[in-house]
Amino acid sequence: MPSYTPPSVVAISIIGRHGSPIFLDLFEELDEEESLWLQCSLASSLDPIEDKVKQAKGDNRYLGFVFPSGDCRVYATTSNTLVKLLAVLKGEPRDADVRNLLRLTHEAYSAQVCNPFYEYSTPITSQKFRNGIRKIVADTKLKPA
Amino acid sequence: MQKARQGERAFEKMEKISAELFVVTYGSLVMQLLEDSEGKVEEVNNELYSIGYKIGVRLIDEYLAKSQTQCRTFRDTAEAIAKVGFKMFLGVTADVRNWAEDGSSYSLIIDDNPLTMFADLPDNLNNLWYSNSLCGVIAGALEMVLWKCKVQFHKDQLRGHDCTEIRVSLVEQLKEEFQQEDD
Repeated sequence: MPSYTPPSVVAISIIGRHGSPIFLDLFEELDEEESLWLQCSLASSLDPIEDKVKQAKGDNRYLGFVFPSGDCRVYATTSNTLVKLLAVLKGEPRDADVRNLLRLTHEAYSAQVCNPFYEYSTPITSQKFRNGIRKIVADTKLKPA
Repeated sequence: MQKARQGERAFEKMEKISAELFVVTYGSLVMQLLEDSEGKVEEVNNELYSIGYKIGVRLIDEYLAKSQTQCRTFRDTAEAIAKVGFKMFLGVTADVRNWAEDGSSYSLIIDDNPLTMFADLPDNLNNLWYSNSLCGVIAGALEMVLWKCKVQFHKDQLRGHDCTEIRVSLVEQLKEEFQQEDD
């Protein structure tokens, strides 16, 4: 009987306008090959995201599942400032849980943008922000769909 | 306790604005000063103090009008600032601690400084006192009621210290001067 593993977060990434990398945090140990695979998946997600954005209505758009990547799935939400927040997840979590995870990530990002010392569109180096994201991921319980 | 209640009552009378707007505006002010001074942090600390001072000398009248507190001694002013002044204008109270033996100085400990709501000080600005205008406000306000004080930051949670502490020291009590007309 196969053992049950609940869905989990592999990575959280924020990509700015023109594909500029803003933030990436990994929640699983990845070797060099897996790490490259992850970077590729994130980059490849940008096209399907753009397609979905064109079809969606309203400003803050939760796009849901956007790209498959091996045994992982990339989920995304965007904002009207053309910033994309991506979550790379293993397994098939409930939509409500993913929505919540991305919503909290977006709120953390909005607070970071209000930091007067942060220059917009540059990579986020703040340890405080990283700790905040880690806490959000730690507190998020992903249940299977 | 009584001062805390006075603080609450005064706070209720005040017009309110969005905290986020205020905090982001203050942040932009600090950033602009840093840009204008080309990174001379001590200069920015002094500018923030100066700005605060000019605010303090004006704010004291509104404080007296809305709070109706009476301060007879230097000790009274400490609780008044911490429980009434801070509450009225920043929406939070401070604690008064570490009185000097001769009663000429004390510390204001602020648990939750609203000015630093989103701020995260980068390492290269570790000698910036981000909220230094608060010191200026306190000094300006006290001087208008004839307490000339030295007000400065000792600790700031933004710098990684365990608390945010402003030290207020009495320099001298000023006397009202009357202009003598020459006969």
